[in-house]
Amino acid sequence: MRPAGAFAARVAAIVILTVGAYAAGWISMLPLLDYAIERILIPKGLSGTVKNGPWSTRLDLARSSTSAAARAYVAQIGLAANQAEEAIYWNAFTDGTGQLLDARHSYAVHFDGRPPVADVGFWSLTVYDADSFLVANPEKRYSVGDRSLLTKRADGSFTIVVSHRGASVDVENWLPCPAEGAFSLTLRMYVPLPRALEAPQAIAMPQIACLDCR
Amino acid sequence: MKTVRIRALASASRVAAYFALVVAAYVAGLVSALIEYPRSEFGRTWEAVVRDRGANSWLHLRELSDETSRRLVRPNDDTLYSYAAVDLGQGPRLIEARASDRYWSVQFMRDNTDVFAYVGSRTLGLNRPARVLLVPADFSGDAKDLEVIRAPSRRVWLLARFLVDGADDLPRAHELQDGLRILPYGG
Repeated sequence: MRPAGAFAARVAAIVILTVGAYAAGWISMLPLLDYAIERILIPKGLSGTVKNGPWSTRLDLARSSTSAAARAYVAQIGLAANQAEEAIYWNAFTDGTGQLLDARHSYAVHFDGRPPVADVGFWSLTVYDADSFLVANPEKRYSVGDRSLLTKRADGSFTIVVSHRGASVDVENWLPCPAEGAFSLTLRMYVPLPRALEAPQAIAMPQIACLDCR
Repeated sequence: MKTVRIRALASASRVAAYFALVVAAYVAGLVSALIEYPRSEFGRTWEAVVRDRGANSWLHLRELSDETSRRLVRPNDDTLYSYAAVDLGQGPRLIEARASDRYWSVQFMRDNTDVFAYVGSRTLGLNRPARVLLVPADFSGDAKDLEVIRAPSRRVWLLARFLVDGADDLPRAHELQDGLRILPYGG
């Protein structure tokens, strides 16, 4: 009698523990995912993140070989991620020295030339506020890119000034950032050239220099 | 004395076994939810589009994103979007688009959010119209000479992007949006 009762109690305990722990795992997935995106994936990157100076990207999204975690990450930030062949999105949260981009400062983003995109594609540089939304400004300038009338040097290089107030240099090469707080940049490469796909960590990316830090 | 030690050992190993069980069940729950999440998000979006617009019909966003856009994080300020929820349950669908002088693409997504095909300026070149036949995975009919794209799932979500060169260029981009078609295929 007693051994049978103990056995039944043990089975019940095992079932309750299993179901409870499974449910706890299921329920805690989304908060854990949000935490991981906010605290780890965006600031630090994880395996699969490609770094190039202050810029980082992922080339492994939206395909059958994508990991379950990366797929869930995309579902959480917005369902429309492209495969890298179609578009690479480079994000920068710091300048070239590793200091967080801060709207109280002004930054020079220096391009050696046209980013490596095909003629059937396009490129753009966009500023986002601390919540990853576009930055309000009277001119409605949210990005610059291949459709902008950028002032370029003879060798094809050019510099974009990112600052809250209009650049004294050249308004075409100016991109407004928020009045205060952290902000970030995204460089979009739609239809990247093969070298950008083969060795993204080695292509020439724009340098980001703080103009008035310290 | 010996019996007590064996009992203690047995109970310690039982605790360890329970602990391992709890950890394994927790991880299983976590991983299952992780795998299910993109599918349920896809389903939610797909069904919402069908409710708003019906299946197999394009919906066009006519404005570029600005500071009030909250639908996605890090929205772009470069392209207009059009989208459609395609149901291949009633057979294949012809997908058509006009020739375009600028970057454009239609992204084909399956029920777990993976992309399984593109049509656009990258795949066709500029100034080329598109006409492809989107078929269910088990399709065995006659596609004639059409380019065939085989969908891994019955529910497909199409997302089109058209590059815009500033506000003055919006009417031209709207024409390209209006050129998108999803047609039943009789053949």
